[in-house]
Amino acid sequence: MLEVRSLSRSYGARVALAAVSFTVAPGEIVGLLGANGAGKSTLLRTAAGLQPPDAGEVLVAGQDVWARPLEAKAALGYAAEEPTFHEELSALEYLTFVASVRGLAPAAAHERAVRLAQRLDLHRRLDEPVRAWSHGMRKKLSFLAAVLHEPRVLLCDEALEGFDAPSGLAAKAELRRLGAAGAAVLFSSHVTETVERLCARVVLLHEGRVARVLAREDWGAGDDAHSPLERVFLDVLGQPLAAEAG
Amino acid sequence: MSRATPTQAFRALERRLLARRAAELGLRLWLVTATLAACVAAFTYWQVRVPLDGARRHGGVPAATRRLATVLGAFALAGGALAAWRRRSLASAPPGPEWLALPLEPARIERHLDAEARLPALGAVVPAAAACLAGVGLLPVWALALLALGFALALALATRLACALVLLAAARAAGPAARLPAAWRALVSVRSPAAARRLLPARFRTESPARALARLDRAVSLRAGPPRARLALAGGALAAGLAAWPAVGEPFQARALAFAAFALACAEMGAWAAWRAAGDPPAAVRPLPLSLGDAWRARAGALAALLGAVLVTHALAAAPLPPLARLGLPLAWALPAALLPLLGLHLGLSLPGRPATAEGLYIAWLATALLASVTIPLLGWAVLLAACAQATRRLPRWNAPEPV
Repeated sequence: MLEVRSLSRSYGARVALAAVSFTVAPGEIVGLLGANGAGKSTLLRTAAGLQPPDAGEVLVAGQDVWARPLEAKAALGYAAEEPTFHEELSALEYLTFVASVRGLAPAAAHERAVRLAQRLDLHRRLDEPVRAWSHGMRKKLSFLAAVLHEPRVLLCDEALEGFDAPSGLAAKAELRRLGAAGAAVLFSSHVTETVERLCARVVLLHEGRVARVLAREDWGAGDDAHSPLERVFLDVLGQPLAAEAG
Repeated sequence: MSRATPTQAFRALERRLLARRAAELGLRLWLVTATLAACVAAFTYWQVRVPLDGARRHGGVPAATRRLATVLGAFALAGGALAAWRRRSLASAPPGPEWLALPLEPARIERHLDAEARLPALGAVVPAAAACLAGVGLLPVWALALLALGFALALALATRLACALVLLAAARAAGPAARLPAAWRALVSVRSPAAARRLLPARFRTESPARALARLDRAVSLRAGPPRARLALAGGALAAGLAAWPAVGEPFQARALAFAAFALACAEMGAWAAWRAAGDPPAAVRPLPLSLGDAWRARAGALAALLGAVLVTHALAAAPLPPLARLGLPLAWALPAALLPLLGLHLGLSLPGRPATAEGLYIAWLATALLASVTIPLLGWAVLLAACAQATRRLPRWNAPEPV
């Protein structure tokens, strides 16, 4: 279970998050939608323990990420929007490090890493330094490292952007499998169609606040020009539906 | 309004960049910079003034002029080295947009990067001005004016030459890029992906997080990059220190040389610790269940083992010294062995994700300690102790990094 409680964060005078609260239950895949600068990445980075909040707390499997970071992070996976790695290391070297730190059994971790790498079409280049990898491959590696330990809470920050179609399908299948196994998944994306298909619920962020929380049955049907979530999204932004045509 | 030429556009860009950097520095850092500049100037003044006075008394104006010209020449060369260092980092990762996607002559872009690289070299003007000031009253005004002009020309020449040499080195290319002009080749080679070569397959293991971090450190430090460069320098200094014992006959001279090399090695190990402790990519490492204790133990353990082995080797190699002095040597040298790497480690841990900043701060502390020791013997160690205490107080920043 992921609980975000009154999370606030400002950059100088600019408010990125203003008392944001919501929960993601075990087994649930929740979408996080918002315009550029709405605070999605700030929320996910704060929830992952990358940057401290000004106020509020994030509970991962009942543990506060900032008060009890080790316990919380043991249950957490995070796939970054702009993943960074030790450029000198091979992907497999990085994955062995992640597996060691997470205390995974070596044989099982190796088997799962190779299986996931095959599905994401990374397996032939696992022994190459990450420096030589493309942006899409780095995103896949970040996703692989995030799900390697079958986390109880998974944070995906635009995680599937840059994936080729087969890898995208494999990643979504893995997310659904993790959800079915009881993981709480928070999935941030700009692609509303992906969120519609993958998520049971959507949190809409607007200017650092939760503008709406929608269940699948709430967002209704789309039309020829807009997907159902696009209609809601444009409504929240206060933009007319004809904006695309105009 | 008429259209701007590329030259005007670059001038405007450089002006804006300067203004933005000056504004971003903030009042406190400006004051710190000004204080440091004043300290450097005062130090240089006295270090130049006293020997210059001696030269004037013994060799007259020509000898003093030669001496001051040598000092200014050294500062111009140091400026050139600074420009080369900066140009090298700009060549490998030029800041700004995808330059080659813009309708600009590559040579124009390179000139902009040269100008950026020459900026830090202006730091040499501070001690040079202090050195010229030290000549007031000892040399005629016309000689001082000529020397100042000569320094300005030498600095301009040295920085331009340094940038040109670095550009030539950066422009080495094979394949289709080899036919391009040098400036173009340098920019092309920046963005081209590194050749993919396979590494030895890694093995999944059961081990503690600190041990896993230490293994990661070893892997990263064996590959090309700043940590390996620091370790290589440390290794060289350690070897030179050990070689001093058999190479220099006089025992106390040998000990002084061995200690100087050992202290240099410790300083480089501190720089390595700063890079490794701060250099883990945040998005890859921070979401993992790692504690500050793990991060500290991984590096401190490796450094302690290495330095302990080196100290024992020194004690064994110090054959020219009496037995009691040999026994006491590891104890006497333990302070630098602990203090310097610990300072680097703690600065690195308190600045996660910002290795260059951590190393910059570390070098600034070392320079301050060196200046303090030159001014008042042994004061530098007090400065280093204070720095280490301050860095240790900042350790909680590992858990809650400062906003950048």
